[in-house]
Amino acid sequence: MLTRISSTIAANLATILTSKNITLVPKNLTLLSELSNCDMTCGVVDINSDIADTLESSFKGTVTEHKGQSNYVQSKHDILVDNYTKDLTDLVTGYISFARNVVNKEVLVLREKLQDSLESYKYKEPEDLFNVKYYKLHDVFKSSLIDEEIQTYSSYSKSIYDTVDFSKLPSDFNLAAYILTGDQEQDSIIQSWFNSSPNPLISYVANTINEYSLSTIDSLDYSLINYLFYRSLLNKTDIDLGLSLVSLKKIAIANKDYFGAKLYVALDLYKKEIKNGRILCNCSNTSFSYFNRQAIDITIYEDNFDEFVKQGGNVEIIFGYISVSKEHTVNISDLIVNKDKYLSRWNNSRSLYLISLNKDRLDIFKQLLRQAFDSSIADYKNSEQEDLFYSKNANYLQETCKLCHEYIDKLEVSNIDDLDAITLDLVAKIRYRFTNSYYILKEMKEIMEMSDSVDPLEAALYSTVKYLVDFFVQELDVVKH
Amino acid sequence: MVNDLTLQEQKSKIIQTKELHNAVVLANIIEMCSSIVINVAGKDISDTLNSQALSRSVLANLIANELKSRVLPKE
Repeated sequence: MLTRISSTIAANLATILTSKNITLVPKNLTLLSELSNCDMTCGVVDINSDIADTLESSFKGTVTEHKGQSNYVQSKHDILVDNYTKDLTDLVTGYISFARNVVNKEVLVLREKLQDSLESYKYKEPEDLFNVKYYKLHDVFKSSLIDEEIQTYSSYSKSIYDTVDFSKLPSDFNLAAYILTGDQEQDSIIQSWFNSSPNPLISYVANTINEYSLSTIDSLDYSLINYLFYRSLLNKTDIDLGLSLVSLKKIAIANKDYFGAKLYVALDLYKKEIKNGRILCNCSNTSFSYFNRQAIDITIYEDNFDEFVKQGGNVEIIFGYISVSKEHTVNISDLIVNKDKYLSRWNNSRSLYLISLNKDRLDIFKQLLRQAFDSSIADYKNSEQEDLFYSKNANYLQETCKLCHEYIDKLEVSNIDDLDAITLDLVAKIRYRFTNSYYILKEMKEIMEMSDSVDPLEAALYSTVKYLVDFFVQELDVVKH
Repeated sequence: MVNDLTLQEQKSKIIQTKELHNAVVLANIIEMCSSIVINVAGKDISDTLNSQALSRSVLANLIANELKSRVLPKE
């Protein structure tokens, strides 16, 4: 028996199809052919009859009267529908259950493994080619003690200092404590500078440094630490360096003056750099090349950068400048005047580097995906049914790995951001290709992407409808006249 | 008797017969799909559709729309 609603909707749809000269012909020996031909005795209908009525009545069973009671006797069509409905329900329920409870879980496991791997691996961006540091003069250089004492060296001209043998310096020598002045406010600033300095301050005191190789900002730290050390040594004369007290004092005075003068020069140089609008410290590495994968360190004067930003500048203009020039001497006005040229240059370099990076990125993604996939298979514990299936299909897993690796090899840069699609393909389409899971899960995914308000259960329902319709459409020939 | 019909009536009859054959196929698909989905919904998947009860009418229309999209050529 066909229900009234099925008959009515089918009649309406049939009118549309027929008007477009389409005929639906069930293929031979199919369920649809069996159902459509069963009990259908009315090959020709009365011109005045309603198709829905005809359908409803054609497949109906008969009602018999027995001892005053009426009994419905099922038609052959009724029996077929009942039997097939039960069988197909069990089958589809099994498919959906397997798709959701086994395949989808494995899709999620693979996705999580891949996501974890990707998160722990940091892809480089073109901007990562630069390690940018911003330098701001520490308050210690502006403190009263430094300011007052160092100003006295403005006309000091001694150019060599007396070397000291520091090999006798105690191994537990605490430089940070030794250089303190006894003035609490001043010492707090000195400690703050000592702890924040990126430079190896103890080695600035204990080792011979090629002073000419020091940048402006390194020279500031180098001069100050030595100045403070010899200042304390002169006051305390308490370190046994194998010298007489007189010699120790003499060296301490000479070196204090030397480093005081050096600090005056370094500060003066720094102030000039800032005054002239310089952006890059001369310690910056400007040997940029996008072929060189190693990041280069650049140090930007923070005070001037703030001014540069106020005038419409940004760090990409500086990147563009470095990709054109190796000079550190550029200033704010040069950069602002030529900012379009530098920005354009950076965009070109960036694009070239992105092409190169993307190739690496794709290779790394593929490698991580292969590892995640192999690991998800290794971690998975098969159900008894799966074990049975694999034992009957000895090469299945081997073939699966081969197909998955082939799939991964063919991935392009444009694909690799869609992790959901990739993991669904690998697990549902390839690994569980002996099931209908891919069809069901893919439909669910597409339905859920259409609207945020659709929940997974509702999507599963729509997906089931699509799956069943697809199943029956496969049993049809759609003939266009 | 078919011979007693006018040409127009004969044409209508042929069309109506074609419609009936299409309708038989479509009705069987809609009937089977509806029954299976309702059974499956009771077992495993949602029994609601946009928070409405999953009525046979709603479901049949859903199936018919899906069928239409599969068998009608795209215009």
